[in-house]
Amino acid sequence: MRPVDLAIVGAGPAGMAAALTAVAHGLRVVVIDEQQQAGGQILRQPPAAIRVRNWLRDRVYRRQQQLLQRAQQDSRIEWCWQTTVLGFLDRDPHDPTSQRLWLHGPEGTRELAARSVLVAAGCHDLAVPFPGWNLPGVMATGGLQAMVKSQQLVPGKRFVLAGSHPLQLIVADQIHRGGGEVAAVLFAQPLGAMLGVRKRPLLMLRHLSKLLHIGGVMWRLWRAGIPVRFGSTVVAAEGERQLAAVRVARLRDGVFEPQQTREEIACDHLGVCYSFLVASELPRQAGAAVSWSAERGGWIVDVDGWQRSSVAGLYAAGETTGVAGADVAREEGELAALAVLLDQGVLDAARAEKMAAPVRRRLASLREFAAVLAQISLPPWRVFEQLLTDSTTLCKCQGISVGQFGDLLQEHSSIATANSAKLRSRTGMGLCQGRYCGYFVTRLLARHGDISEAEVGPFSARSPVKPVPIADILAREREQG
Amino acid sequence: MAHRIEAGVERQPSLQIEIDGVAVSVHPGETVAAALLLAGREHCYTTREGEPRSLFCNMGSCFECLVAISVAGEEREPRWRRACMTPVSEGMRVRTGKCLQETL
Repeated sequence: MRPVDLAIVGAGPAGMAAALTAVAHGLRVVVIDEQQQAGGQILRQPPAAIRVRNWLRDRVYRRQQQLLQRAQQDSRIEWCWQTTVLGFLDRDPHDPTSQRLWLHGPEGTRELAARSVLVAAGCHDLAVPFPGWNLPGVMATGGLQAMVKSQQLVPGKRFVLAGSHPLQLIVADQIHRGGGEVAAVLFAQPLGAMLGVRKRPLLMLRHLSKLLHIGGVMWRLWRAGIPVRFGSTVVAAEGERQLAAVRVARLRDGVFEPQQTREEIACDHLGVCYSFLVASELPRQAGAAVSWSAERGGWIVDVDGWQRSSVAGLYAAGETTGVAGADVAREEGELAALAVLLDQGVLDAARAEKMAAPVRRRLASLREFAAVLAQISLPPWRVFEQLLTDSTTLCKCQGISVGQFGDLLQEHSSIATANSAKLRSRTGMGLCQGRYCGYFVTRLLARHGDISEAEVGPFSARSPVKPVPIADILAREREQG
Repeated sequence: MAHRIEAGVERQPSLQIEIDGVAVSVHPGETVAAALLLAGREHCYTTREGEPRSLFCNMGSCFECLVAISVAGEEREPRWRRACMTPVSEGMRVRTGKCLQETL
């Protein structure tokens, strides 16, 4: 099988922009995504069978919508939907320049060879563990939003949103407009921390459309009487096998108020969103170097000025290289495609540089804005520390509490790295493969050993990076004899 | 309880699936996760300790919404699948509450 020129993992803004640029220069491009359509999470489309009038027509989505239309209409791009990339397989010794991806889709497992691979796999909600967060009814806020945005379904009756990311406001508005009741939107940080953006008036002016969008959302929430509170968060979820209420504490200088004054709010669904974690497991499994960033999503993939990772022929763009939003992702995708064209000899250096210059200029301003947003969106560690009580489940897949994990650290002084902690405690060995607990395991270990997160390191990512029914693998083996 | 947004939304004629032996009407394009929410059955798989797990990320990364699904017409035995990533199809059978360590 002849390898394709470029395989792109992820059909979000970065993947779509890269695909358009690459096919425009004659490359054969395959885009792989777990969803059924392009758009990524930012433009998670309703399924083709559900038609929605005026879907996401707000001005702030306009450029992303244009990108989506262009990508969908371009017949040169090959799409591979409902397909998970399970990992990179060893390279074929007869063709060492090609990479081999292991895919799992509705038809089972298969392989795809590609000369270059771009990972633009996006991110998922940073879900901070707290007492009761394993109760059904507690969800990632992004998950609630996807139900409303894509499935056109309000997933409950009465909602509370708690965390620290401005996305909460947008989701509260969408739930309310869809006919759900939003009891409260809680931000752990004080309002003053959010208003830190005032110190950068020129930068904010350049990104006025985003601020106006948030302003409009705030206005609608206010008119609907939905309380938006700062310096307050959910400290426990309560209910018998299903969420019935949340316990809310006010914070003063990052410290929770005493137990007895904590308020209870009845709700059937809670959304949690304290920023986002990057999906870097595929590049890590391929051996790409990563760096730690607490506020940009944990273990982010190292890239050079052309979005090249440390592995030859492997590129990364969008959130995978540090959470910075859809606009940054789109530009990075474009830049990565130019790099592929340069490295495959389609463009010469001078031409590639010339084409990259305006992209880099746009990126500089967008990244600056993203950095400010990231800074105001993540609360200090002491807020998380108070949520991570001994009885709190740290790893939901394997059912390990913060207390059990702490005891193991006391017992075994040899545990210093995330991998050694995994072997002793089983955190990160379950279904999510550490995608959720990994961030906290890393930060807890760094604090415990008084070492840097870089010394703790990530969990090793192994193929398959996501669970796959073994019957599907066997079926493929049988087929091949 | 969950509800469908009706204003400005056009859905195709409904189809039937079965959740824990009970017939449920859903629309093409809806996911098993949406069907579970609408049917008021949010528990997905059960841990070894007997704790229910449920929808969390709704984007295919947490694997907490695993349920046992058999697709009509495919002769295979039921498979663990992510409710949030699996679109409904006519005659699909969904089992919730099963322990992940049980064989299907």
